[in-house]
Amino acid sequence: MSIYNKINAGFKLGTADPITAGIEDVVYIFNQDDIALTYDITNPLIVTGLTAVSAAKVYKFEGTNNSFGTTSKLAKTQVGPRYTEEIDFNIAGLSVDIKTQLTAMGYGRVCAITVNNYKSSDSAIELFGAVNGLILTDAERNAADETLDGGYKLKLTNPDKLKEPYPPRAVSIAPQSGTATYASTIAALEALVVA
Amino acid sequence: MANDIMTKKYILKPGKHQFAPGSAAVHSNENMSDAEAEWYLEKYPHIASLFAFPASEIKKAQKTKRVNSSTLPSGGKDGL
Repeated sequence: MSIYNKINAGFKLGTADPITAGIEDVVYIFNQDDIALTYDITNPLIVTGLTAVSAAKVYKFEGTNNSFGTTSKLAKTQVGPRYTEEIDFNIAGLSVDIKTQLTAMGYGRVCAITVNNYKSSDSAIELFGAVNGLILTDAERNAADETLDGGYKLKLTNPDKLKEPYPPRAVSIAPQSGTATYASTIAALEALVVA
Repeated sequence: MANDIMTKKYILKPGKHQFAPGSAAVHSNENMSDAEAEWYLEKYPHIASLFAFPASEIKKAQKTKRVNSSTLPSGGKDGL
């Protein structure tokens, strides 16, 4: 049993890899029921595998101009710390297919994976909604809006009354042989993406 | 435990696995018998990829790997 309430390491500021803000303008989204997760044997903060149920896939939503973002925030409760998660993204399009996907995200639960701009860490790629999933809580399209030029402004968050027990999980998937790297994780993710 | 794994027919890859999406990730070699593995494999066919080769086949695979190892690219660190 690990000692969960004792810190065991500090942090040293350095100039080798300064942290940078933002995430890449891509979010990988999948239905929570479609993908089984594998966690590191000792650390539940690390997801080491994604296994598709039958022919399930991951869907990739692309954007531009550093317009995607994520937020995770500790929420104190009477039974310990919990975390709220938010993913802000947009879709620069308007079609029946897009509306269908947005409706589905409003009813069903999804999980989302984002890629941080800061790559010099073992948490460059993060999974949101690992336990309770995420739902679409904002989907706004203002046809006259110049900021998005009539595109969809979207937000994925935890469903009502639900929070996550941990901060966003790091995704770290090893290749066939060898240790997990950023490159091997992206390759594993892309292998699941719909062509 | 090491002995168990040597005699087991079904060996899970390292980690704690979800067999059904959304469940707690509890399945690992520590708590999985061959009979259980067979039952889960029948009910959840997608988990086949979570299993490594059975112990007997691992030995065969290792032998062939040694023969081929000179032609394989070296490890994961180069990926960065």
